[in-house]
Amino acid sequence: MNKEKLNVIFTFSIFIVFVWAAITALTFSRLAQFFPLYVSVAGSILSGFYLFSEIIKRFKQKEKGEKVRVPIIRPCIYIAWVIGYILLIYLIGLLLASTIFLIAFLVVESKFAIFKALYSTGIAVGVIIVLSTLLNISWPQSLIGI
Amino acid sequence: MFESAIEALSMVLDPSRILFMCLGIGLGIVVGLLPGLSGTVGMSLLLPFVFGMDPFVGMALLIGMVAVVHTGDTFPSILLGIPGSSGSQATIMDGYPLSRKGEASRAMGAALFCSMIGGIVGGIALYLTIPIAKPLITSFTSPELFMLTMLGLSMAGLLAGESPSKGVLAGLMGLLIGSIGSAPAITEYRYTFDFLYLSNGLSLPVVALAIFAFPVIITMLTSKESVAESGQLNSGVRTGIGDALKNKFLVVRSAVLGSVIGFIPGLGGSVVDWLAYGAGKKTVKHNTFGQGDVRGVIAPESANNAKEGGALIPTLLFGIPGSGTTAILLGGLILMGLEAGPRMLTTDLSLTLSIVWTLVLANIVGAILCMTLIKPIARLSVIPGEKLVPFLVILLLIGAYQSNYSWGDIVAFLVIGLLGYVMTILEWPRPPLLIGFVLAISAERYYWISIERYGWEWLGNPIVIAIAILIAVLLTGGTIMKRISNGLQKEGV
Repeated sequence: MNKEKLNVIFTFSIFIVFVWAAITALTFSRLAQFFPLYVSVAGSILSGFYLFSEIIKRFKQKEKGEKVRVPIIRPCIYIAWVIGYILLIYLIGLLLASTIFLIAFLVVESKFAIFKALYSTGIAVGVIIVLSTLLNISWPQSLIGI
Repeated sequence: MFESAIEALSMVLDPSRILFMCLGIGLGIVVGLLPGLSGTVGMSLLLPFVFGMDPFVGMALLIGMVAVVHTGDTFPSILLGIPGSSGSQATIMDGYPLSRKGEASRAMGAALFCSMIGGIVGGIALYLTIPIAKPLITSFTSPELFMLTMLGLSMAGLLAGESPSKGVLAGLMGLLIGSIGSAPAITEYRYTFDFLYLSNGLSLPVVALAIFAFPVIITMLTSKESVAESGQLNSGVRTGIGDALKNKFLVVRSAVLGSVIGFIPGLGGSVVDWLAYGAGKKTVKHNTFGQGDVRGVIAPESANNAKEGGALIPTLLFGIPGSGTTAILLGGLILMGLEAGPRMLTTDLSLTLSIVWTLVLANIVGAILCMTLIKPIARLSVIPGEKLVPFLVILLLIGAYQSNYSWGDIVAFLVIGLLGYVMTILEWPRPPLLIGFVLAISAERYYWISIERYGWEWLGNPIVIAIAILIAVLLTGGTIMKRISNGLQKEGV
């Protein structure tokens, strides 16, 4: 996607968030509203000005035909891996999810041989168990209670 | 007091106390190394063991751990661009770019050496402040604390880079995110969408990990690179130590700043490194801060270890904890049959002085131990991204979960991480967002107390005016000096 276009969309989103935050802050009591209201009003004004300047800049660049592209598909695939892993933890618990995630990722993305992936996963899961026991680290609870 | 100090040193050097100090140091380094775990976690882990312990042994264990957390947290900050703890966020700014250039060993050598010096300066500050602590601490009221918060926020402007608008907007986003949860002035919840998790606000480790670590892991995967772009490690530890020695005034200046900021209760240790970084950026000549300048590592690393000595002053002498870690330390004192307060300067003076010695010794031992680990750990920076990232993802999610032991931590990590990633690809500066987040509650609280207690009269307070002038000088000084220098160059002077 075009970087400038994405920047305009992002700035517009921030502008909307600040405006919404300012309107919501008006519903708070006096002592709770002053800080978020100051911040969100300042944010709305500044993001509005910045958005305006970016739109003008974009029109100028369009005339010149300058475009900087940012990758979208590859990052989305990797973000999907992380989201998938989180969902797996939620469903079957950290240990099982980590085992499945590591083997799958190492084989599919890192191009590890299956034996090497199993071996690396075994060590990683072992380290998780040892550190969790020694440092009394808690794991997220899953639907099946593991 | 000098004789008491010598007596305390002989007590600290007792083999059993040294052993417990080393145990604390070991745990402190592990806690610092693992992203998301803070000194609070290490302290809570040790607390049950100090019950009924000899106070000298117990304090050796606890202070040994606290002293080196900011030494161990240097590794993930420099090697992976992930803050090991909240006190090492600014180290990323130049430490990570140095790793990208293959100079991880150099950055770590400088950082560890400065951590050691900073820790020693913090210990000395604690020792020197003991007789004069009371008037100093009571001189800081809410208006001065508010202005110090503003000083911290002004760092957001300094770190904005080439686009001040983006920097200020990011800082405002941080302030808005920081206002989520209960209001400090009244029992009212804001922007919580009726989620119980949000009622206490978002926690700093989650936001710091998400905003810095998430973009790093996605970028490492998409670029298919190792942290070190060339895949090679260049200059080593000695070069880093040499860099630190060459910049000895910066080291001492930042360490003193760290001690002073740590000494002020309620300001929060998370901002110390940013203040030192910002001050360094403004005072170091011909710097390339943000692009891999080793002095950008030296400044925050000298300050964050020094902070611990400063933070112990209000904790031990007045029972005012400045952070979660020091609050647990107070609990530890009670478990050992002691009480923080003026007694620490009279009947328990030898224990207070033994804490000073432990702080100094732990920093030296911790730094030497970490230096021996640099070579093997620095190799992490040459491992290709797609091989390292899956393991990091697991570590980061477990780390994020430790903040509140809630699924909300993981969801918040993901959402803020995505925000951080978009900011990264669009070249929006992320540090201002974190500074805004860190200081949001303090800014609101101290502003509200100042207005309610003093009306607008506090604006005439001499310390307030002095800090306001300092902020103005920091924000405009560089530009004015540059203009004068350009003018002189044009005139051929």
